[in-house]
Amino acid sequence: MVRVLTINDLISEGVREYYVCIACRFCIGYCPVWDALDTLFFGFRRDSIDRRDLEYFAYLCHDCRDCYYACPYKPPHELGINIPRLNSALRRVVDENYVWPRFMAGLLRRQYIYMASLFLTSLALALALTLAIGSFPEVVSPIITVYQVLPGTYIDIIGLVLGIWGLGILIYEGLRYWRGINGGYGGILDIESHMYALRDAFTHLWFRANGEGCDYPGEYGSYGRFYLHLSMFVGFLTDFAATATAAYYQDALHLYPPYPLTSVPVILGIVGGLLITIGALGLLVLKRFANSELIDDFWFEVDRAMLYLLLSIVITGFIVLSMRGAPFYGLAFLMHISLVSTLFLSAPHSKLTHIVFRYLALVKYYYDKKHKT
Amino acid sequence: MLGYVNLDQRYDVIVGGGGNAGLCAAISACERGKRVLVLVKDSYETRGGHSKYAECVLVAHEEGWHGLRGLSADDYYKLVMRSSKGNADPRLLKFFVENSMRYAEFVERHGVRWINDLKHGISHYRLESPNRLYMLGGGQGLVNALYHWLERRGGCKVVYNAEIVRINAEDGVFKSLEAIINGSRATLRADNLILATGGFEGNVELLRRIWGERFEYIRFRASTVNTGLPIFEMERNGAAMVGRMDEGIHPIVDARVPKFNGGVIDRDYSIPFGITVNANVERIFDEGLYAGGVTEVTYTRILLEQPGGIAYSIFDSKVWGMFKPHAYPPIKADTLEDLARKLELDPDRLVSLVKRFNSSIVPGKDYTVGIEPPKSRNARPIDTPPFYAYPLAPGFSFTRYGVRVNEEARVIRRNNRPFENVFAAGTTMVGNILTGDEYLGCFDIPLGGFFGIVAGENLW
Repeated sequence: MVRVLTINDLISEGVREYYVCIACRFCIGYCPVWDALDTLFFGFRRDSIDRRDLEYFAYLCHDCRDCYYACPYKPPHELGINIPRLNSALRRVVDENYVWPRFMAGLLRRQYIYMASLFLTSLALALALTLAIGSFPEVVSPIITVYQVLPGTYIDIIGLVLGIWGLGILIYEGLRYWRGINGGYGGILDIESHMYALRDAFTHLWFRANGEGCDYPGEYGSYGRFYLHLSMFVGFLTDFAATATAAYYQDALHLYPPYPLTSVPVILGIVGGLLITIGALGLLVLKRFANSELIDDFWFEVDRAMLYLLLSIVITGFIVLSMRGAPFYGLAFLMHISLVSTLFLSAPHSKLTHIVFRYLALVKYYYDKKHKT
Repeated sequence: MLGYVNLDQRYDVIVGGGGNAGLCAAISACERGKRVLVLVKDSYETRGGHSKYAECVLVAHEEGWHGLRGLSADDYYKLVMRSSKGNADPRLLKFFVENSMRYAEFVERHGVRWINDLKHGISHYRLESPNRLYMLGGGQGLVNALYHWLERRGGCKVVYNAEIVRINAEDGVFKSLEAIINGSRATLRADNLILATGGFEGNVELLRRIWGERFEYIRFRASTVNTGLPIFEMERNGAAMVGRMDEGIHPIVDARVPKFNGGVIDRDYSIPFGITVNANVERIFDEGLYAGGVTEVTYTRILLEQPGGIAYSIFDSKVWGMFKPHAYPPIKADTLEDLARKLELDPDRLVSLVKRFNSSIVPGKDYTVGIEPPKSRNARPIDTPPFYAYPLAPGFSFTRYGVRVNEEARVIRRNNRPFENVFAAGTTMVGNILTGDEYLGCFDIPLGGFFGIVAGENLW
């Protein structure tokens, strides 16, 4: 694929490439894109491909790359088909188009600076808050519980606000995307399609390509990315469970932190942190060896920024755990929650958009499959 | 992946060709502990020859195998015999159909997977034929899996950018060959030679000579890598030849595909669903009968004789979605006049032709009366806008001219005695079984691969 500059060029290039694909269809079975393309032409008897279809395919694609290596028309063939690169460029278009508010879409190109500023701002505000409520001395002195730095109610409220910001905007962006790809009310309300999409997401079905494995980072099928991404995904859920159990301990059982190392919240937190570390480090290593011809340069920073952010959250989490009762325990804690708030604040304008977009593309896939003519 | 080739090392066998047949031969020999050198003319990026455009595999099998409808060896034999108009070597063909299953099991064992077996993401439109296996990743997926097996196995060397330019044999015994490897000439020796270098379906000069002015009309599906030089070298060394040189023209393809190396995306499936007219807006054949095999070939020849070697398949929106679209968008218009103008055809003639065609369809039936040529099947009035057209051109798949072989895949000399240590597989010997332009879908891949496996078993 030629390196296209404007969105219109990219769309016509996408139409050109997918026309070649519908006439070939060697790749059916690797991922749902090819089935969806068939459904478009045979199921819905469409005679053309347009931008909405391309935006839908873009996130249905899991960047698995099997189709590239199986393509007899890949460069240097004169047809020069490179679907992974095309789809990654289209995912850029999707992100820049459906991110809300629109003027923040530019932040996707400035992820390191954006996240660093959010972190420093959060930390500064947290320190200012401790000054305001008079707990600043506890930031540097040995303390028993982090609540001496910030009272639990403050943490709860801040967490709630950040959560609503992150999740709320992500969901809104998802709805914008859904409207953009012409999803319709039937699909978004269809329980069965959601169940299938959830199954695919939780089992990482399309990172396995029907048992073939993804051609990532190299040319031959591998489960590397499947295990690493799954590790990160499970780690994420485990850490969420750790937070939820801690809240349960505190609010229902009236047990207050710090919790012993053998308590459920701490064990879950440690396990989740380790899983995220393995996943994020592993994915960074895979990226190092992955074929950079198959991905739009745009994602270089977006992908890595998220992995670095997650790693720094985990690392500061472990530091907090190991510094209990030591001087600067409070500061370590403030740094940790500032990084967590960076994750929530940047979520709608970061790699995390792929969670909603990809999920909704899968919902549309299963709904269309059911409702083709 | 590429590595260097030790020219002094003596190999047990040199395999010429890195397509399906060559790789099957190499693996078959490699598994028997032979030292194998595979010379691949393609680069690493384009590897797979013409096999990378293959789609499916047809072997004789029991009902229910991989969920397929059964195909007995006898029926398979008849099918191929019909395709070759009775000219196939009956002993070779019988040997192949009775053992064809070995090919499917062989490639399966070496990493090839079938779309038929997959659980998720499968479109039921994909598995067009009820008794064929479709490779996951198509022909490129097939050869990649075989290359991967060879790479992992080690000990058997694959060299890319290596073209065989001369073969030296004496008295029915292969001695050495000369190859250009990465631009420099080398002489290589081995105890055996297996030729799986394909036909000359990509040999521009030769094809131009054979097809004359019609060369300009034809779209060649193979890449220009396939020059057939090793076949002619074997002919020079006394091999008995089979097949004719002007065969292999089929199927009808989209006129917009690349001149060479168009591969599998070019084929037209729309003809039976509409009418096909030439540049003078005359129908050129009975579209209803166009369906693979014999008619496909005859029709491609008819198209080749049309002015400019071009025709247009014209159909309406009623049938859109019933067949596989082309790799290029259809030409589309709301009226037949507009469609004719876009195709640079005479609008009045097209309108009156379609009118005559529509009124000749017997009411309630799907055939026509009173027009020439008739449409004897699948005739539907062309009356529902938008109207569509595809420009059509004659396509060319692969040549049949090659070396004669016996049941050990040994190349036969003109004195009817086999070469001691030269074998052939794939398109280099397909003319033993397929003659004429005819073609049976998904048959040549198991045929070529099977003789490759056999060659690997019978080495000196």
